Amino acid sequence: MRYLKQLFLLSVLLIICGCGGKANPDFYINQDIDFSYIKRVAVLPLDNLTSDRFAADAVRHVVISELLATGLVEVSPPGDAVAALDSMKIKNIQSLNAEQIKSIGKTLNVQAVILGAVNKYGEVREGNVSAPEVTITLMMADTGSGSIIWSATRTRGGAGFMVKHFGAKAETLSETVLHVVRDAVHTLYKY
Amino acid sequence: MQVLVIKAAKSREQRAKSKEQRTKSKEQRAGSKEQRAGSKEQRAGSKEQRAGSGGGFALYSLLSALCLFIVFVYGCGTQKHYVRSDTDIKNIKKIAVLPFENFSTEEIAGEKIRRIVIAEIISRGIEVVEPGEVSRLIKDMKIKSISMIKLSDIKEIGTSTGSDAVMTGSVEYYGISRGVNINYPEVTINLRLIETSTGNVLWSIRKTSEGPNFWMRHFGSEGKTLSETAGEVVKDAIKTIF
Repeated sequence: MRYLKQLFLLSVLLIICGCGGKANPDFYINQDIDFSYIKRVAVLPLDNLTSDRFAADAVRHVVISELLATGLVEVSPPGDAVAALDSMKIKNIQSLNAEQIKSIGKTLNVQAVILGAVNKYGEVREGNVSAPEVTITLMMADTGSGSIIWSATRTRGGAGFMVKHFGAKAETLSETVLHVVRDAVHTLYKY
Repeated sequence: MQVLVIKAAKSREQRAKSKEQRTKSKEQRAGSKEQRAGSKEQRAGSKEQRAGSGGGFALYSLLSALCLFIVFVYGCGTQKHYVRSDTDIKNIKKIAVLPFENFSTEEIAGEKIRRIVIAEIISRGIEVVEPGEVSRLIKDMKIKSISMIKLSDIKEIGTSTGSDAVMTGSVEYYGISRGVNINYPEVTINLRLIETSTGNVLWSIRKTSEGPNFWMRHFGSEGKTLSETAGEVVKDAIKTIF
């Protein structure tokens, strides 16, 4: 009987390993902030640190979709954020300072802005197997103070044990992006 | 004579003793027979227990096999969408579908998906502004790029075309992807429906096609074409709202 229970637990463990992927969530959240005042956010264009030309745009749209899907905040149209940056003559998102963040907040009528970067986006080769890998960093800045109140780094990818050895269903690149963004956003709306 | 009597008495004693002994051993045999019957009962009882735990074993095995099968065939994860809670979609009678942003390597993927979306919306009985009319309007408004369309532009498009809502979107992926041992079509789109009078996002979805299914991966069965996949992804996305 004990042997049977161990066999069952081993099966469950294998299943979890099959679904888990390689993920080490790493995030910061300012515990002194009451996030319930944030009703509307703007997602700024993300920095693209990959060789895929559209990686940052693609991930940005996924972030917008996932934020809307939580139902907790409204998101200003992506074009408004781009137009606001254009009007302020900001070409490099990395160079945004606190005053500029406050100014964007007033222009777009948002309580917070989301910025970040796509560090990795594409296929990686592991032996005979190719698998998608995505790494993103997201931050939220309060437009009242201009300070960072949340940040998360999330990475996911590689072919799992079940995929490599038993031909289980592997994640597509799009599914990997979705999981990475969703896991990052989860760390925010948990609070 | 006396010797004979004594001998007879002794042999009667001996016969009585051996009769006693036979009775005793008979009793012992009966006792051990009972014990054997008892242990047989015990064995029957433990056999029942094993049958009961065998049933438990079958249940555990079935559960494990079911879990493994589900992960093996379907993988993990679900797709969500957003619908604004205080909205009655039935009030949306006319929609303008803007050109989609294209983040894929296929040059005209944006336009392909846009046409499929328009056809799908029309098939559900909703009026759609002619795509050429929308493109002309965007050109007249001197909008440099689709990614720079502002809320004020959306409201203006709504006023000019008489549409209740505007659909925007992007094509994140459109092409053939390489899996572990197999190539498969992959299509991923983001769609948003924005009310022209208020600028509120009424509906938003990100939809992606799934990778190769179980039969394709293990038995080489024929999969869908890229066009079929695109059609399905759009259909599944639109049916969450209309």
